[in-house]
Amino acid sequence: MSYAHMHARGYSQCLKNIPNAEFAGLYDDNAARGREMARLFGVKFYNTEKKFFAEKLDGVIICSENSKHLAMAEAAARAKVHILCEKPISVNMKSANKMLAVASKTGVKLMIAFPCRFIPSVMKARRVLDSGEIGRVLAIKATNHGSLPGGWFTQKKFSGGGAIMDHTVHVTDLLRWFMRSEVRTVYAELDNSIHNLKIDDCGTLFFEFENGVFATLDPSWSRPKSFPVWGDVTIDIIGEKGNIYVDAFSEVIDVYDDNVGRHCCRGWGSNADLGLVKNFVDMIMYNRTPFISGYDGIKAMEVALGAYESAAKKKVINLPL
Amino acid sequence: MGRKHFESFKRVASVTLCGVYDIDPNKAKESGIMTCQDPCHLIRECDIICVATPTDTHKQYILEAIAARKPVFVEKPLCRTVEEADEIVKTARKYKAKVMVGHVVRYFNQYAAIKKAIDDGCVGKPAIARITRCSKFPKASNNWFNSREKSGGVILDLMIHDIDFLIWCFGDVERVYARDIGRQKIPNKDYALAILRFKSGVIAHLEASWAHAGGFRARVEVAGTGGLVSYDSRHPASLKVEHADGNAVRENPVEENANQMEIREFVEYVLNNKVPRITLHDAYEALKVSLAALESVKLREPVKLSKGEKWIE
Repeated sequence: MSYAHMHARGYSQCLKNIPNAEFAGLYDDNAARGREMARLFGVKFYNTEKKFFAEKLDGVIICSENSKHLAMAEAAARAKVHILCEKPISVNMKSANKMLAVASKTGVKLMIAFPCRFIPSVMKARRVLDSGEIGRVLAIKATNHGSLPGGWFTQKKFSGGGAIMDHTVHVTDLLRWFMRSEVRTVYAELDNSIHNLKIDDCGTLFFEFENGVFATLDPSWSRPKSFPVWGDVTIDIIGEKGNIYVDAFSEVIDVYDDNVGRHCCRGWGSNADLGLVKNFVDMIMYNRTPFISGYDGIKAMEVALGAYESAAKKKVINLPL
Repeated sequence: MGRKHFESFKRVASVTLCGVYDIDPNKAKESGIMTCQDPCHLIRECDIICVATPTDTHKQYILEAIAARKPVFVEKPLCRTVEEADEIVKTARKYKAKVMVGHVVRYFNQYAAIKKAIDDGCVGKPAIARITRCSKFPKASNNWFNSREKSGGVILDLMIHDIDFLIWCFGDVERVYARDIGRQKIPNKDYALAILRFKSGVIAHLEASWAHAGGFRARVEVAGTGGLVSYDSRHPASLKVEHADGNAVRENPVEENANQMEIREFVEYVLNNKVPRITLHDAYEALKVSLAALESVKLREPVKLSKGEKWIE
């Protein structure tokens, strides 16, 4: 449902490549975009949700603007179709809670798209942590830099927030997953000083987990147009007996193309999206509990919302909100 | 750092090394020159003084040097507390003394190049910076870095380098929020993260670590409205020497290293009145922000920097 989010294309490609999944069709509230995508992927386009859900669908991937997640999820839940929803789960606590409630009431499985959990270096880092090799975790320093996405991402009514909303949730989810601990406090400095828009584009979050570990996260859209890569996901974990450094998108080749006019990098790493979509398909086929639940989606978004509150009040905010 | 400064002073043609004092006389004797049992005696004997003692002892030696009308170079940080710093500044003004603090990062060509790139407008208006300084735990007499009371830990001894550098680039700090692992009381390990908000609006993230056994790494990145500049000490070095056992030494040889440059500038300050690129005021500001970070660690709240008195040179 919807190709408003650029990840929709990647997930669609994954669906085509998973043997036990059938890409049945797509719906988009932007008909021109929907038709183009349907042509691109060789599937049927449905111009209304009603016609879309009249098909016997097993699952749906929602890649709309963040503000439309709830309505589309409700439609899917009514049709008893399992949901993989793009992150962040929603734009505020109220609508996110509503999404969880409707899923649980209808018995529909709700999974949140945090593909970073499927990056091999990330998965290995979690195993190393669990092995006790670096001892107790003391502190964490993380980044999820990006470049300016443009479009609805920079319009608060569709996105719910800028860089902080867009990029806080991935790493927050990973750290919760690593430590099995929730964020207890959040402090943030943020601003809109890079791109001259009315929405936050840079900042740094400082949070503490219930297990006492403190962490920082830079979710800024600070990569200029001339930067060789789109951004990064890095996590430095400082342990009592050693450290772990994850640089999840460092697997690149260098490209110097005169037609592009600047140094570019192309990734050669694993396709985390494929792991995510496969997991979603398997969840439906084998009737599994979602590996990344709606609750996970809420807890990650809550940190971003806490960061906005902290920046507004210039103080440390206690979670849950 | 005493040894390093000793070697740097040796290279300055107009300087003759006079003598050395150390609380451990055997260590002082390693210098191969005259040693003193009494620091006051040494201060009387020399024309200029270099202090590289534990941080909490800086003040007494600086004040003795000033009282003896001797210019003094002191390893960073200036001293351990704001009260000590105020006393040093007051005394230095009264005696019109020359006091220079070894904030050596300003003398690293790569950092000077980053500042120049910012000043040249390569990033447009600076918005957000990240700066990192990681190493293993430093070795020192009586392991004094392990004592919070003496050294102030990784924030006051290591992060202060980058705090000074960022102030050099972006001006006054508005507020600071910081955390460190001090409460864990793990010997020979320290680690801290901090966020600075500058009056200019720039947001900076700082990491300082004595928990990186894998070796030294320093990085800096500044992004703004028009671009981004960055430096990483892991960038390929201009020279690498590899041995049969597989060990390799990477190096960027320079004619004059940063330590030598700062000592030379100090001597030029003493002899020719040429103001060095790090002033006592700069060192005072860096100390104040570092101590505010330590205060934030204690309070678990952001700390606003006080306005302070107007600085008069």
